Amino acid sequence: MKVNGETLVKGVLTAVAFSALASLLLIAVFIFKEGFPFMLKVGFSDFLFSSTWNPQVGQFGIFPMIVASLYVTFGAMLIGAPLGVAGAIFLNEFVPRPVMRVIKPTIELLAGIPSVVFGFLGVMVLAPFIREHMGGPGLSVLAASVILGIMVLPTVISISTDAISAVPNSYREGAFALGATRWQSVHMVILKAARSGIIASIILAMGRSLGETMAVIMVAGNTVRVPHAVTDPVRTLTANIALEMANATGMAREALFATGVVLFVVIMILNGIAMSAMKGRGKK
Amino acid sequence: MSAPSDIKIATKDFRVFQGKEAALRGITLDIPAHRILGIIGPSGSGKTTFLRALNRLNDLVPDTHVEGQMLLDGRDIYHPAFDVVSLRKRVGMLFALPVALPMSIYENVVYGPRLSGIRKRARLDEIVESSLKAAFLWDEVKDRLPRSALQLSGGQQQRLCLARVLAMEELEVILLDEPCSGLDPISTAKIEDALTVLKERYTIILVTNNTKQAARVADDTAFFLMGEMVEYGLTEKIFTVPDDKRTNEYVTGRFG
Repeated sequence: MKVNGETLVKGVLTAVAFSALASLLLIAVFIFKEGFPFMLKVGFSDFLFSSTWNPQVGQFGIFPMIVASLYVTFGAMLIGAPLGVAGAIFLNEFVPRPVMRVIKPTIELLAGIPSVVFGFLGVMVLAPFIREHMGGPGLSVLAASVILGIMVLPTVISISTDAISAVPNSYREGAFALGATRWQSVHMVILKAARSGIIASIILAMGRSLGETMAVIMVAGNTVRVPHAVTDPVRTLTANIALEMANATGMAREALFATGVVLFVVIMILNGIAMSAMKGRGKK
Repeated sequence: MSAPSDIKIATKDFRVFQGKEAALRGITLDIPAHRILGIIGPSGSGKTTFLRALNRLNDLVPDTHVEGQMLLDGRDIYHPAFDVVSLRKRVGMLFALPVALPMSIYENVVYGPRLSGIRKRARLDEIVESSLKAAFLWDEVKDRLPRSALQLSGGQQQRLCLARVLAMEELEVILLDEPCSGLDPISTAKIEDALTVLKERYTIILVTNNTKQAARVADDTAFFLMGEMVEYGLTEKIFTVPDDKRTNEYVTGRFG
């Protein structure tokens, strides 16, 4: 009887564990099945590197959107990564433990705020501010970068904080005992020891901003055009799929799946890098 | 008997509290320069606390405060105007577990000098060689200075840490917190050899659980028990004809 119970539990847990893997596989297979034949039909270079997106007349160039996604993500990292890492250092090294115990959950709460709320904030506050002070329509690469930069803060801060607090206290004492100031111990020892964890946090944040859809649709402006300034409006890959899915048929629908394939591949690459960075930490 | 030397460190009714509990209950002690002081005593006797107080590492432990005086060359190191960073450059510490920092052997040794603003490569090379020689490690690592320090054995890492302390130009006092507790006899002997040479230039304070080690290398020995100093004197005296019965029992291995 007992053995049967054990086997049952083991079976159920195995099934549950594999269901996550199975859904990932299903998604991958489904997207590729719908999108890949389309890419072959249109041709990879026409699809990836042409700048005209006009599905009604059969033009499917997603180059502006690839560029837009990369710009917006890069911008978000430019804002989110330094702020997040600095925040994590501050929380770990410069703030008394009890204060950190209050601040860290508060920051993690930020992750629970729906992205549409961030988008709303961007539309109501940030976009008008950019329009008035920097010109352009306001809805822009810059607006999207700032909003995403704030949205990824909890990811960067909480994972970097974990990496930094995992640095053995003896390293700190070792540095202090040699006459290091707090800042010297941070940038010469702590950051080196926690490096792979911090890199992983940034790469995860990159994946998150690349995949974010709702907030970006609201603040990026959604014009299909290669941007020439940070105040230009853009449409990202994710926004493209979400905006056109409702009334796309035939080739246009397939084109959106193909967009999904591109997005999927980019995100897989980023995750791969994140994982190997984490593994690097294990080795050291 | 050697002639009375200059007093390097003096403590007057020095107390350390962790929370409400007293870890040290009034230590009054004069430590002469250019000698090795061994501090012995069972676990929890306060000897490590005393050592860490000497370069104010206890500052990093929340909820700790001190009373009384601790003087280095006659100046109170707990005075608010005393610069902690410069104190730690003058008073170096070696921990029980070697803390090789996650960088190359070379970088580990020049860590302190770099903090003090030494930038010239030739000067740093010189410091690396002389410090590693003084720590009896040079011959073993001279061909792999750019390699990660974390690849060294425990005994080598501990000597690397000693070299790192010695690399500090302002160094006057070396604190050692059971530096050989995790080491094999040969590595232990190398460290002890290094210490007996180094006392010519520095004042050395050695906390050890190994009473034999204190008997071997220390000039003076202090016996700590439950946060108090029971007895302090020349090592030969402490180990042969101590005044206090408890000291006698401890050094002959009857308790602790």
